[in-house]
Amino acid sequence: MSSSFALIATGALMSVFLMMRSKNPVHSVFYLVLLFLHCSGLLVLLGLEYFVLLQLLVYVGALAILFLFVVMLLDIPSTEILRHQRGTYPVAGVLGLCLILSALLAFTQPLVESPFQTSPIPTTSTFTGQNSDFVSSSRHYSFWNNYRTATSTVANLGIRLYGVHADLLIIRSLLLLVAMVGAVGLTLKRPVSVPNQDVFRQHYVDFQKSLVQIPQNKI
Amino acid sequence: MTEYVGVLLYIAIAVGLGIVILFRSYKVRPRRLDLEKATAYECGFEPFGEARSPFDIGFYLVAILFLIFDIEVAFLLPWVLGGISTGSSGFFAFLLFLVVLTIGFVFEWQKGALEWS
Amino acid sequence: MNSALFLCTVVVLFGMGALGTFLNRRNFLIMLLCIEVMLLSVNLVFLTGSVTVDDLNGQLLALWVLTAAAAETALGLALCVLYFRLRSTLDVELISLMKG
Repeated sequence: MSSSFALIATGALMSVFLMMRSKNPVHSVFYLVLLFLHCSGLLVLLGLEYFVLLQLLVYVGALAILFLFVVMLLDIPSTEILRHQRGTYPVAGVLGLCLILSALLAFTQPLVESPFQTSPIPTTSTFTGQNSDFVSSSRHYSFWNNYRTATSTVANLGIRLYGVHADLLIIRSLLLLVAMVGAVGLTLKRPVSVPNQDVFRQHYVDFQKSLVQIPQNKI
Repeated sequence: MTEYVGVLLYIAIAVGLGIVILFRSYKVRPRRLDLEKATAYECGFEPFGEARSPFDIGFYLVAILFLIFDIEVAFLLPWVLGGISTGSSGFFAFLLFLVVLTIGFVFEWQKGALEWS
Repeated sequence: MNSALFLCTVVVLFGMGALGTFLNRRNFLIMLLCIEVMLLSVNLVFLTGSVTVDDLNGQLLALWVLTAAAAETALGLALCVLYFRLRSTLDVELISLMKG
């Protein structure tokens, strides 16, 4: 188990490194696909099959294809490919130091006395009932807890997704709607006033009706 | 981990088949390049061009549509497996999710993003 | 299964993505790829935590991050296309039209 983990983790880190170092954007996108595959391998080690398939389907199947389409669409000149990277090293150094420091603090912090730890969701079995305000909030959860008869992880996830946190689902659909509308509104620059040539309509003009008869009394 | 041996075999066969097809077509093809083939055509086109030629923005919009509805279909699977037991409220949340995405689809259609003229 | 090893790997992944965002200012597309790497590592943190503490909310948040990543990619690539049409380059340092 740990040897396969070492293999996959090393592959993921190396593919990220190659993605940032390669000068051709097409190669970068392919290294990103390699990274996605390695990350789905990590998820296989965790035992989350649904997320493995989701990652392969969404990231590799759609996101990487979208990136490749844009790389093809833009026709980046070859002079830009050969240029080296140039960056703000001090800002990156300070941010990297902050990240390392916070990661060290997070790893060395004891788990129990963490200030970021939230209270778990109260269930009906552990609830004793001193606070009446607490009752109404816990009844909401216990109502959904009655439905949790399924044993599969994905089934429980479905109950969470559509039962307990259905509001998040609606917000998520609004986010996707914003993405769709924004992408269309930003990129679609088709002028409306350009006369499009519609062959079907041109062939099916009735010439008898295209002449307008002017009544005699109007002349 | 033994239940993933089939997946591993599948990946190995797919990668091996890709490598075999690429290298066989590279080896088998005839390479007889003369001056007549390398010069430009009579109509002015170059015989060998860049593989990366710019194409229409419509491909990108269709890919975005595919991405959005890919995620939508991925969200349908938990509803089928466990969300059905949440009853009518879960069903209406699910329906609202679909309706909002359909509004986006109708907007894109009405805007003319899916037309190829 | 040691979850600390997983978390270390994912933190290093996130750090490489974050550093790549700041160091690589040549190409807007590579910056978008690095943001994608960061979102992916956040996703992995949520999933690892969900498995470690046996809580399903982590997987729910991972789904949320997945949706956000998709929306971000769609809009970011739309901006990329728009900027390339305007300037016919993807250099990030030239985006200074709003500076006044």
